Amino acid sequence: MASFLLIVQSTFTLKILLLILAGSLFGMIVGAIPGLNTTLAVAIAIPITFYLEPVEALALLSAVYKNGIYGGSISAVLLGVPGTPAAACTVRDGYAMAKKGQAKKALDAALYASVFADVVGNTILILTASWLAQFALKFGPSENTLLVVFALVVVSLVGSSSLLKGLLASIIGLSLAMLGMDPMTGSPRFTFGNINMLSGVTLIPTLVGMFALSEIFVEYSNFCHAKAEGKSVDVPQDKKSRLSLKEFFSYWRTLIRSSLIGVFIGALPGSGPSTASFISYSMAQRSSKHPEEFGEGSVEGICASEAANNGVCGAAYIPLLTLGIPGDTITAIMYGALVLQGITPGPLVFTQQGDMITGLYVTLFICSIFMLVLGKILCRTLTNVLNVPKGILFPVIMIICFAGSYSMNNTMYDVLVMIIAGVLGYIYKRIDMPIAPTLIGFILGSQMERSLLQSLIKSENNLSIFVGSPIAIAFVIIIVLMVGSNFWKLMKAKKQK
Amino acid sequence: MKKVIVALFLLVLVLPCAFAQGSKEAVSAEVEYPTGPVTLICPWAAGGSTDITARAIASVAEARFGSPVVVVNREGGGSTIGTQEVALSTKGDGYTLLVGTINALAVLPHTMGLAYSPANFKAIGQVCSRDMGIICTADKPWNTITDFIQDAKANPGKYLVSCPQGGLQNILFQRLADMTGAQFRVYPVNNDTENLTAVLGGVSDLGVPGSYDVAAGQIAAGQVKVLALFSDKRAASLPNVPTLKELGFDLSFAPWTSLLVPASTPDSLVEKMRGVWREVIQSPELAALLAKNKQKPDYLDGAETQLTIEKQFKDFGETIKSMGLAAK
Repeated sequence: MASFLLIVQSTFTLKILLLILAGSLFGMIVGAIPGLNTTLAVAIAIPITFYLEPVEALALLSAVYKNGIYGGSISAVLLGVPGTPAAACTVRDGYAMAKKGQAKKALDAALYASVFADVVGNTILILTASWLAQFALKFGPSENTLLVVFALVVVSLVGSSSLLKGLLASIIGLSLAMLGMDPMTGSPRFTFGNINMLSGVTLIPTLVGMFALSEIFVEYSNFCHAKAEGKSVDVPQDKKSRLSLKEFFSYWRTLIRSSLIGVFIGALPGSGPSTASFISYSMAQRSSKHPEEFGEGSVEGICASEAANNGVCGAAYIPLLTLGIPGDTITAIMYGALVLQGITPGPLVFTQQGDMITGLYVTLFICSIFMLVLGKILCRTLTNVLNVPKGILFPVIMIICFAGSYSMNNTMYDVLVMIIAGVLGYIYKRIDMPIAPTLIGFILGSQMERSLLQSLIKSENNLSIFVGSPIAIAFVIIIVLMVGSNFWKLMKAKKQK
Repeated sequence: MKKVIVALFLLVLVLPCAFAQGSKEAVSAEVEYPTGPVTLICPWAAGGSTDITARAIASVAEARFGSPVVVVNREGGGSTIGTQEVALSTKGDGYTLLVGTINALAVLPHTMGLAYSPANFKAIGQVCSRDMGIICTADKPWNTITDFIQDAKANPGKYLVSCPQGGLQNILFQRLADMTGAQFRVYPVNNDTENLTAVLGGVSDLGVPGSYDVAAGQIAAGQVKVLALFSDKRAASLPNVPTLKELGFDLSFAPWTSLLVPASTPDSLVEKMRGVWREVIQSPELAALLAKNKQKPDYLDGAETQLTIEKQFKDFGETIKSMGLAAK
């Protein structure tokens, strides 16, 4: 116990606290700006870690990471644009609430849910790290394929009012994922001989285009219509809405379920915050007492989405530390930073570098506290963004979209992708088609294809691999039950008409 | 009238001289390089191993040159997009260099039918290389690669070897199989992380990651063993692991990272650059940073680097064709 206290004491140094503060602020702001994402923020922080001790380096990177994921929800609520792909689900309810003048409440929900899940994730990391890691290793290609199919099914069946539109949106997303290099052999598909298309459609510009640019188009056409009819378009004033802790904790079931989904997905190498938030949102809608509120401004929906994506953060450390296998792109960057420090993550890191690990755990909790405090302060000031006249706000957003899309890869191709995605998003919004299934189909499309190919190679084209393990069988049963129950509900509803 | 005609004649004679300023490309060896900011194009995403190497080079170079050296990420197409951009650039002024890796320069042009080849580049120098090895979990029955080969010959097609399909490791392992008559199947993975996951999870029987260091933790803990190395000499940290060369296979190979400029850069400037960058590459500061990143400093001068790349391009071209992986 004494040595633990010593470690805690050595972690509460001014330097570490300042690093966490700077990292949190930087991460939150970058996460909130559409077009820039958390991976970029973490990558920028790497050269700074060259001059730091291991625990300090991890503290900085963790702060940037966690706050970056949370920061995506800020622009999701205020601007209707997810700052990071993981916040795409938060847009639906968050932005709807902002339009109703309840922006502060939505921001509060996102913040509390993120912090809650962060703490849960940290705790599970500390208590079960190696066990969970061993379990994650049991996820072979067939299990991964089924997981992706499960995610797609869940999101398509539940995400919207019209089943047909949801499925269509998923298929469009999957088709978009096919553009570019074949995930296995690298042979080009639908690239029209253009080398830029080898990587297919880039994710962030598509995200920014479909959510942000399309919204600007929609708002502009609404404005034109309103002007034509002589009405004035007023800016929703934010009524001093707050989220009471009592109301927040009334959703404890959703919070715990979403955090656990986040932790589970985060522990699997390869899956990320977006998958977790989509699955969690859809599951929450299925089991909610007020499913019709989802999409119109449900606090529960925001909690589900944000808890899941932050739950992933804590769990992503599990495969990183115990197996030396990064759980997602950002932990892959952290892996590089650790290697640069001379630390080899893997089975021996707990015995050989036990002190560093304990120090890391402590800093993770400090990060959560900072996130809560900074989040509250930042949100209070940022809500004033809503009071900016749209004539000024939207052009600024547009500039940020263009600049952000360009900055990832320094190429105008990405900007072109963003514009086309914007037009597509506009069409979606006009015909009331949900964007979320397209996004998840796009994100998961290549993963599913890869896992499917790997499964078939492993089993030498024998389909029984998909029921070849307890995990796989469990997934198959769940998927069949979900589809079955949806169809049954449909049949019942038709009979009643 | 006569005066006008004479004046016109003089004008016609004088005017062209105003334009004949002499080609700017005639750079003498005495010119200063670099005099301004230098850009290193890294065709991989920020935070990855090549990116970290590029940033290490940039920070050492900046300290020595006194002018900014910036890393610009231009990822995509498995590193071919950034590579192609530099290859086809007509602005060979010496201030934009490519941090090139072997796959993009010697392998992918064949498998993907790309518009460039080593002829589009002039090499400034090789910076570092990694050790490739063959790994498997400790509970497998083979202790060296020869054990595995005997087993694979007896059971053709039974064993799965994980590596990126059509990539460098695939080609080399295929060559090994061709030399020995062993037959195996490829389990395709995208990168070293997926490779390790497949090996540890029991999905593949052997793995050939880009660098065996990805399993360093497991090797130290005794959970993973290295059956053979593709390098010239044994590794200091693995004194008991033989190299394929020792075992009699002509397969000594190390994935390298080099600095290159477009072929449009004039030769005299390239000579100057080779000298200037040699000091950066061979500096002790860079060696220290590279060692931290688990890269071996492995300097080759510009001319030798160019020859190496061209030879590998030709060699791999033949193997790829015989494997049926060449782009149509």
